[in-house]
Amino acid sequence: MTAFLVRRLLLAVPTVFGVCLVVFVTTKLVPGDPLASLLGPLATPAARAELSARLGLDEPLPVQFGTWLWNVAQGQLGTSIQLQRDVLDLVWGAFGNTALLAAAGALIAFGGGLALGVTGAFASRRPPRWLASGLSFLAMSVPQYSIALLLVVLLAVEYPVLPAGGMRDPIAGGGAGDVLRHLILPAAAVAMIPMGVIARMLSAVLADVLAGEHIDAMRARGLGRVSIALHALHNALPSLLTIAGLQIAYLLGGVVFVETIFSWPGLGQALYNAIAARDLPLIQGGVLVIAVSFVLINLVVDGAHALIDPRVRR
Amino acid sequence: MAARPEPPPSTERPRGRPRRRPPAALTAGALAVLALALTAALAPLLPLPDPALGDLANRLLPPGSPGHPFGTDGQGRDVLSRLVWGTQASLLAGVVPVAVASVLGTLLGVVAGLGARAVENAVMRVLDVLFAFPSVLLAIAIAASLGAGLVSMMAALAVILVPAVARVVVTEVARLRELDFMQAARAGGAGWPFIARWHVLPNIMPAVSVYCSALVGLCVVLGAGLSFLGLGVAPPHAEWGAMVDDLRQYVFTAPLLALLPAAAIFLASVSFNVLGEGLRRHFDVKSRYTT
Amino acid sequence: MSPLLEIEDLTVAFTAGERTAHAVRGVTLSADTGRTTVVLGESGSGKSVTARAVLGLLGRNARVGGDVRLGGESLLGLDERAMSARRGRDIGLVPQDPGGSLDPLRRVGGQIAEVLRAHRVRNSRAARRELALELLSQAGVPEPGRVARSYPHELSGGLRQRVAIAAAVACGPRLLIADEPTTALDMTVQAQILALFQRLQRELGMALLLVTHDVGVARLMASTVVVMYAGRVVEEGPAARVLDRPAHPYTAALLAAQPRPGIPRGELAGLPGLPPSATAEIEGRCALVPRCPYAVAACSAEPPLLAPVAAGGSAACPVPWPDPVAAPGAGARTR
Repeated sequence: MTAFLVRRLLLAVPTVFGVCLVVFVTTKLVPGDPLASLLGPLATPAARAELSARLGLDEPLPVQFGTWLWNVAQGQLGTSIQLQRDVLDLVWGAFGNTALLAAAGALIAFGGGLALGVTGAFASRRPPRWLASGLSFLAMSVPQYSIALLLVVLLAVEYPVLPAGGMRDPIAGGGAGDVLRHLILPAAAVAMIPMGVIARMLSAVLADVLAGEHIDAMRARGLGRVSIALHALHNALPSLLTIAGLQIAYLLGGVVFVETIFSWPGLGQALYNAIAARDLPLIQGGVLVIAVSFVLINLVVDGAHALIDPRVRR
Repeated sequence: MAARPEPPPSTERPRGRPRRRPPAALTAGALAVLALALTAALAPLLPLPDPALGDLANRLLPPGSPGHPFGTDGQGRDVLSRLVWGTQASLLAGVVPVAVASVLGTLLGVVAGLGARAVENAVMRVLDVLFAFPSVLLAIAIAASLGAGLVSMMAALAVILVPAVARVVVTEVARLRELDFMQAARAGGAGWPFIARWHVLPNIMPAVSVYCSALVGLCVVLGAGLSFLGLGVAPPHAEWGAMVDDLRQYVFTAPLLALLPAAAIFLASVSFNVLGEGLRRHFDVKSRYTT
Repeated sequence: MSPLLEIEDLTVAFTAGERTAHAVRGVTLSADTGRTTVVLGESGSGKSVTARAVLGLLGRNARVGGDVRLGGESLLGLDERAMSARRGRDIGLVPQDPGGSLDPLRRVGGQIAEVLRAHRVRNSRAARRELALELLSQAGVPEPGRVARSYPHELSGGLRQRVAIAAAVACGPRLLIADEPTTALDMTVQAQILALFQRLQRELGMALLLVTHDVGVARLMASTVVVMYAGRVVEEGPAARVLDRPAHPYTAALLAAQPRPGIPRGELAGLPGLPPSATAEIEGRCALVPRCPYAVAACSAEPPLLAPVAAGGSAACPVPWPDPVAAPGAGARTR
């Protein structure tokens, strides 16, 4: 088990390196002349050369990448063009809020996905099975921004039971209960697609497991319905984990839309504003942090997978 | 004898693939997608107001107003007309990137699957890196770098879909590689281009095309999402995602308006997903891969 | 006294849409304590379905007719709960593939203990664990302590089958059903597993119902042989008589069939063609008619009935056909 974890950890190193490379390359894709955009078209050649040397733009690309990587490793993600503040500070401040939203979303997605998937696989009558699979299909197809708007219109505008946006009430708010009230709608919106996908895949996996020989053998040994269902779930867990790991990506991607619509002060909203302002350092910082945390989450998922399935551990 | 009792296959069954009625999902999905395509194609011919023409005297009319059945937006532009014209961009954003990605991804996947170990490992490592990004974020990073516009948006979507397709192809090819007929073809001295063309492609096509069809719905959603973020179609053009972003500011004054384009994207997404599900059932491909 | 297991005129049909597959078309057989009944037949003869019908494990779209009695009690009328209580406790099943019959994610010791818990054989966890070790050792598992802590993928095929057998006999069933228990194993391991069955049957005093396509296994194990073809019993009787002096052309062909080059898979020497499919309509005639070189008009006119054979048992072939021992040169039965 330890050997497996160490190996998996080592494998993550080149992945993180690659993630950095991709983010760096996207900065170099930007069309147009970065010097001209900073200095204006009328800058003298001398001024251009001076700035170019100062920004390291006269170095060969690999050297530039090395320098950039060294800075990133030290936590220097640059300065936001729009806000003129350190990108790491900005990103770090928003990260916690996004993590809260993502965690709440993951909770809803797994809980709902589990309930719908289990109903779809185990319900002995047709109507609940159909209802479960229909609901998961719709959930899987609904864009985060569509459901977010629908929730706002329904539960914040037409029947104002929950706040339409923000994270804390400016007058009365600040407590945990207040944050929770603000959290419900965005978490539900961000959870919708992952919940649908998890439910559908879980139903399919459970159906496969239930048709398997060892479940059949358990019936032949006289095990009860409940204990067979639990066994089937246990056997579906590894696949469920793999699916869930992939779905976290959707969750983390979805926060961009949902935070924007609900004015949730997280990385997603920061990204939206950065895009509007063409604030490239902030865009890259945000993308980098989310991608690296996704890599770490997948490490945890792999570890859990190995805990459940002895065949993976070697 | 099989351990699980199943009705043994009948010898009276006609030879070849049994003729099946196409699943209801396939028919329904195909009809819905056809309706979308017709809407997009006929937009210039329909008697609709100019989707880009504003009329500040008649801004934010509610749905059901005379002359504007779906109302008008913040600049007084006809929402129905913009929805109809917006179909074009959404279909393009859904179909083109998937088409490009399925060709490139299949190419990459087959080369990785049939090539030397080192090639396969190299390709898989690169795919791992691309998979480390939540797809929306990678698309945002690329589209933000390339600048706004339909073309750069479609390019960004294609880039994020290539690894997804390639991974499915690599998995399918690896599964195929172990089969006897492939080993026989290799032992018989067939070169890899021949094997790829005559043994691999025909066998992976059902799974890969079903997977790709399932990607279209996702791609519609992502494309509209990029436009929502201001990375897609430039403002004067009608596009659903941009409309959502534009109309959501009036959510308290005209809540229904903002829901219209949001619903349009949802309907397009459901249509393509139903079609994909229908194809999956028709070709009897198991849903092994998540989109 | 009547035998422990009595199957009487059992029919099983599976429906899928408009199609109906008749897997078992009227089977009568019995198995008794201390004896081994071997059901012999090719793939698709309905032998496994018959065995699983005893356990009531045929699934929702199976229609079952006739009667199955265990110790005089009819099993077909029982509800799922009552049937489930008998599975594993009164009737044990050893499935074909030892790899597939164990949960890959759990240690095998726990899987045996779980059967004990389901049937409340021991009430404490420690007692169950102890009994599981005893069962493993009874099933001839070396180092039962180590094996109990292993996962299925860490064990060899033979060892896994021993574990599956230990789980099947954990609650001391009166009847043990083994469905092709050695087909997935190596030749040497096969012999060991069959010996284990013989020993367990002696020690636990069970009736053994063994389903196989392997004439060699039947020779080694059977007290009684029941030969099935197309969902019907074509011949049954004491093993020595059926296997040495078959009274039905199909049995004779089956005994004569050795895998050899030149004969397509699925075809038997002297019996051209393949068995009828389960969806075929064969009521009112002998199922072997299209293939049988001795068929006469009467074979297509009336359903074949099992009639007593002089040397013991019965066979469903009223036509006088050349005796295999008297006429060793006859095409159908070259040994």
